[in-house]
Amino acid sequence: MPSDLSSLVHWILFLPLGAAALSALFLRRAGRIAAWLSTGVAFAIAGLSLQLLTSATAGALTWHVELAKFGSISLGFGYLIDANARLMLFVVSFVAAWIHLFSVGYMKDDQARGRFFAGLSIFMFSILGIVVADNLLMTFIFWELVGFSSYMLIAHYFDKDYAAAASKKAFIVNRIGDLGFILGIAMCLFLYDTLDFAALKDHAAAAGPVVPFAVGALLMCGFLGKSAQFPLHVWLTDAMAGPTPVSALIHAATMVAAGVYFMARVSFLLAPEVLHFIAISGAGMAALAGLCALAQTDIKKSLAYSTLAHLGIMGCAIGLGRPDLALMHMAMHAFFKATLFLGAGSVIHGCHHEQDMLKMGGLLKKMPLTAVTFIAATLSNCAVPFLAGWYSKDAIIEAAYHGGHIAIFAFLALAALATCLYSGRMIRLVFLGEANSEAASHAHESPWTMTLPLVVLGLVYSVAGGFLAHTIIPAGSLQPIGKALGEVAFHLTAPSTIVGLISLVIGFFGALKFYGSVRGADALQVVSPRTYHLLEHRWMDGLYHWYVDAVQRRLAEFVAFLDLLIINGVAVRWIGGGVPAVLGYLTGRSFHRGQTRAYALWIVVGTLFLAWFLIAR
Amino acid sequence: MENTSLAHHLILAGLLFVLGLTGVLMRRNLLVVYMCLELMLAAATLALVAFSRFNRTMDGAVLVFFVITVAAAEVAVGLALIVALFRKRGTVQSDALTTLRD
Amino acid sequence: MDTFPATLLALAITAPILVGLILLAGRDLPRSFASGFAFGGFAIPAVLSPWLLILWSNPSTAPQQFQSEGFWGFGFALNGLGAPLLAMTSLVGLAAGIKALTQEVEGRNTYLGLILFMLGGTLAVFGTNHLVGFYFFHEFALIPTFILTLFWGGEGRRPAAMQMAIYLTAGAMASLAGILIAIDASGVEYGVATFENVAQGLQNAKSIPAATGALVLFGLGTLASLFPFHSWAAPGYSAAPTPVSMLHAGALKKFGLYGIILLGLSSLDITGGSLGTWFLWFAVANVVLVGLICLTQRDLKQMLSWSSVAHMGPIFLGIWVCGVSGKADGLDAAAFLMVAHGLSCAALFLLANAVRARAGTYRLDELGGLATRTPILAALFIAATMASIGLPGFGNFWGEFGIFLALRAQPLWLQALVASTVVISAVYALRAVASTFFGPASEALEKRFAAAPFGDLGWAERFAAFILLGASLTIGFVPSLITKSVNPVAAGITTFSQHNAKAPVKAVKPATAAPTKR
Repeated sequence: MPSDLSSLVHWILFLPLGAAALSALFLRRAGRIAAWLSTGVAFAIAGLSLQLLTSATAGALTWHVELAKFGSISLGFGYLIDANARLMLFVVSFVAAWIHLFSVGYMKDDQARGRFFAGLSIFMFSILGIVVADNLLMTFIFWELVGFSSYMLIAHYFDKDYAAAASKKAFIVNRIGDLGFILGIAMCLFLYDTLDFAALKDHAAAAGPVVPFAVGALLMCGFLGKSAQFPLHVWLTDAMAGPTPVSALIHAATMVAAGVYFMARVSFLLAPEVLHFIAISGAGMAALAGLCALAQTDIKKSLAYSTLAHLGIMGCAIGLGRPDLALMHMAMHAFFKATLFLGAGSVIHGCHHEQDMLKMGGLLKKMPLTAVTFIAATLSNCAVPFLAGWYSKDAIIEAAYHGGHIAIFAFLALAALATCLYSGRMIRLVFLGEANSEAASHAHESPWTMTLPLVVLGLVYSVAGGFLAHTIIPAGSLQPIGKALGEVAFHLTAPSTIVGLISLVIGFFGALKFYGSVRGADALQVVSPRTYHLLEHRWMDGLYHWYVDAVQRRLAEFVAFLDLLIINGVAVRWIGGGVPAVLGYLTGRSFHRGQTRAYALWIVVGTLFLAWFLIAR
Repeated sequence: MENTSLAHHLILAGLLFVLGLTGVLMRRNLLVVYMCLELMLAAATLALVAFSRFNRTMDGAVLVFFVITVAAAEVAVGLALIVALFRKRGTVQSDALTTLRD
Repeated sequence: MDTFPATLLALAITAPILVGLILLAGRDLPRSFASGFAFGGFAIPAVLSPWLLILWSNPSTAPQQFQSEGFWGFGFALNGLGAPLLAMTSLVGLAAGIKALTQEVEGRNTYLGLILFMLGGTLAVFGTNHLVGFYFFHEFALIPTFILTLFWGGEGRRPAAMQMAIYLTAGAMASLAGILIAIDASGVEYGVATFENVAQGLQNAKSIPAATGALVLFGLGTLASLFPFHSWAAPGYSAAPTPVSMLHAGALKKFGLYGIILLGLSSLDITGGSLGTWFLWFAVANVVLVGLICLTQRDLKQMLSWSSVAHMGPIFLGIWVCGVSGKADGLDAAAFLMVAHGLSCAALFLLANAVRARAGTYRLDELGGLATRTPILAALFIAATMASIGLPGFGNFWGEFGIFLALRAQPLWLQALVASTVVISAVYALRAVASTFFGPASEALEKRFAAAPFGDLGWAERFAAFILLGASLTIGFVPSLITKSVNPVAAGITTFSQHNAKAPVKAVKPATAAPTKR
């Protein structure tokens, strides 16, 4: 493989690290320069990734160097740029570049712009590292770094209690997943004596079709955390405490997709039982999260649940044994969900930081560009035929149907219906009708740095993405999803299409009508408060709170008490005070009566004893 | 010197040492205890000289010089301490000096 | 032969001791003169030791070039495990020294001199390969520690210093007994009782008294706060003045581990038999139980002190697994973590003190929202916290992760227990960060700020923190800096200890089924 391509990867990976270091160390007060530096770097990476994508060759690009050795374990650092990685690189860097541009406008008045853009750059470094990694160790390194950078970005408004709490929660929940991930890596090393993906694949192939259940199950834990899959999904909705571009970048387009990408990369290590679990839980979560999105008034939280639903769908595709479909959906989803989040950001910005959808309304006229792109992305989200979302989502539903997994199919169909419902609700509440608050009535369109990314991502990619991918970009470079694209092939009579169309019509238009019936409040809450409350989804958090408060903290306090009582109190104090006391009693306290002569006697006795010991030996 | 052997010297040193030790253990006056200590030191010195003489090496004799030097320094410090103690407490009886017991 | 490296080594070790002597003798030296002098004493080793590490890792310099006769019979000599620890100690020493120089204390020259003694003694421990020298210098470093804690410490310093002195002296006596018995059993003359010679001698010895391993393990384990001999550590670190906490928790503690590795692991079979079982459970308790105790702490410095005890758990386990599995990976990783923990732990103590200087308290419930006032302090503190909980990029990651990997052949429940530290440590560390720096500023803090406005971290402390975190980042990005030096030692010890182990180690590798039981 030509070395110039691997140096290309060096640039892609280390440019953002350099930008981050520069911003963090020297540009803390020069937010404007930091912003444009970071954005420039992001666009440069996007260009380089495009070059890598189009200069596709048949094999994978590899490059490896050994950093150090622990015993026989080689700690390696290297790249494995196969077709999946090329695609992922392109999607991540492209979406990220536009989000960077958006952030320039969105964060214009923020005091801590330098820190924010340094955070974005370090995040880029981390996520790109996961994409190019050629071994489990390096994946884990960047996996952790992604966790850290998302922690920093969520904590951007650190003087708010909720942001502090949300960042902590995101990091810790991710770490719980990583616990399993670490064990999985250790087990891989134990079983196959390597952490290298290529070597692992050979070993797994050589070992036959039976892969140890535990390996896959443990590696899956990391995926559950990072991709916010049940039961570790609780951090994602809270993570909306960060600035909106962060939500778009991390919690919609890239970070959560990293888990999906990783599962695709190690899919050969997943045992059938693991796949089955992922499929069922993914589909279940897709349906549940879709419905929960109906009971959120905060526009970003509603979108966060929508993301959870899509992640469930991607997980489901992995579980169905179709990582290619999952990747394709990841790519499509990245584009339209980024548009949705950026659109939401533009709306929030326009409405003077109002996030409550019930207080918006009638923004179609005031923010036309934002509205049009948002609606286009929404339609893509609802899988309107020939829009980007349709290609991938329907293919997954189709795969479930063909695989004969009726339960999964039913869940996915429910998820599709829920998607259309919450999308319709969102459009109705935010853009149609009349303004429901002072802020919304004075809304204004956002500057070009914010609308340009919306137009590019929203109109070009969300709408035409699938079509473009289908026709323009050379087929070879899209190898991983080429097959999936070919399969879809406009089966307008396929069950998935029928289900999709029915739910689209019923859900979308039903929601538009239903939510138009009540003004200034949520129609569902008015009609059925109990359903609404159930969907608000606080019980999972409640469960974890109960665990932390009632179980973990009490256990910790109990241990601390025991330590104080037994080790410090009984054992040490007893031995320390007890032994001399007993000896003193036995010897009539002749040890310490303050008589110099007695001490001298004991010295003599000790010396004689020592002499006897040395001579007798 | 013809009729004395190493054993004679060592027995003498041992007797001196036990004498000193008994004094240290039995006597109460610190000054006397101190003199007995010096007696023990002298016993050790005697043994060293005897070894040196009968082994025909100078090691022991050289060591004795060091011991004497150190002992001289020790006497200076020790006597000073005892004098200071007497000035402060008015007694040098070891049984009376039991402040640290409580 | 070129003895330049040996000269460097001798200079690095003696410089702080000599300067310390001068400062102790010259209690009335003028302030600026004493400061400059002391700074020299702190800076010389910090420049020379990393240089020595690089020279050591260079294959063209032979180990003999690092040996010198010395004045006191047991000369200085470097080994592959000591070299990185020496470098780490000197950097921690420089940071601690800078902190000490900025402090206003009574008897400043004595204070500085004693800290220099601590530093010199610790450097000497890692810079000698003689067993008696090892013991001597460890006492040499510990005695100033007691004195400093007793006279210059903070709240509760008297009981803490007494407790520390009793524990550590008891531990030292046990380890001295162990060392003497080991030398005796090895049949090596005291004059040449180096780690290598004694290990070699024990290898050929017909019988080693049964308790030797236990004496060495628990005696030196007390120094390194092995559960259940850890009770002195948290109060001791908390009560000590900050430079002393930095040096003690960061550097001094490591020589317990150093001795356990070079004497216990290599030739006394401390991981075999029932002793090995006890060792394992104590180490696991260090990870899990002490980790849980950390969760209950409501005081920033107490929390840091406890966490520094908890972080010893993985190191002990790395040593343990090396003995059990006969593979060097655990030991390599443990050595790496020893170095990295020293750096991150010292940085945390340094910055926590800066928090206290501003907020006036270490109590977490009274702190809050400090980041708005002191962004740089907050950023550095978060960086140090992240280093200590094993974020990649910092050195601790390699150590912790390497130890998890080294445990791979052990039962899954054991691995899970040990790896649970990644969650537990994240919980308590992030909680501390959040309640110190995040959220709205607490009322008490606002009042203090209104009464006497405080600034962000001063340049001196900033520099000290940069040294520590920079070093941690450097070994995080270039781990071979440490491993090149440690690998041969670890490999050597492993072959040795394998030779010594009574029972052969089972290496069962199931082809398909998951290993749930070993």
